[in-house]
Amino acid sequence: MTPAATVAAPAGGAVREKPKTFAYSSDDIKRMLPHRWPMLMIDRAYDVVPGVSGRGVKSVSVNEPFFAGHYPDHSIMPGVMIVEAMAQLVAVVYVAELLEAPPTQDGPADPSSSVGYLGSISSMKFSRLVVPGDQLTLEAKLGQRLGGLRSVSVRASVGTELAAAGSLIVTTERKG
Amino acid sequence: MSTATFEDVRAQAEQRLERNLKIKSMIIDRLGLDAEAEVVSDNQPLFGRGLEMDSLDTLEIVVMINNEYDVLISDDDFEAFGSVNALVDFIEAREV
Repeated sequence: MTPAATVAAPAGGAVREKPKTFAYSSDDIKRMLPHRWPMLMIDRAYDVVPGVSGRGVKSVSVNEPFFAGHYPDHSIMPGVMIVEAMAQLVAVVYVAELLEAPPTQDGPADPSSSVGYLGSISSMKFSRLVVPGDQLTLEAKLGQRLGGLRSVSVRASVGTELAAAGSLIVTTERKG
Repeated sequence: MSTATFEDVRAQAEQRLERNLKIKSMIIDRLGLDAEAEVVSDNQPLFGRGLEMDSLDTLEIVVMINNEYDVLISDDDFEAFGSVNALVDFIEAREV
């Protein structure tokens, strides 16, 4: 939860300064998301502008449980698991907004309880196989909101190669 | 005093009908609806028994309208989703 840059927001100034960004370790992320093994699909987050955008890392190991069956003799990361990793980065970006906001009297005790659901995989294109040893660089940009829904653009790449890109809708609140 | 001639008004009306048809096609394409743009009426409700849109579809349309017309629809603008006519009125009042 370390601010990487501490630049004050300009008060209507003409010069657009870089927004304040945050980085989160795996331990930080466990405090932000309710997910746990084997479904915690993000190892680190950085360049996070709370509520706006962020980047993350998912290192893919041969020990991932899904490789046991997908497929026994040909390990490839299921596309839906790439989408899950993207969605978890999105959750980190909007939980960061709650976490980094000035504390209020009745603020939520556990920010991970505000993590919602995937509402729509509106479009997604997979352009490269993801295999053990790959490191996924994830990117998320939050878009328009309507009620408790938020549209997002997401990408995942391995090195300079695009692995998947598309748009999702997530809910930013939980039922029950 | 309006100086619009009958031809002007007629051209305007035709333009509006074209625009309504375009929006209908865009909605049908974006949401993958099983409908023809020509049979959706301009005043048919978009929710409920009309096009049966739900809240996820609504956000898809909000994103689509913003990309296409650079017009933002927010939580307070629910009147924009009354019908195709209401949506086009909303866009025309705000586009630059």
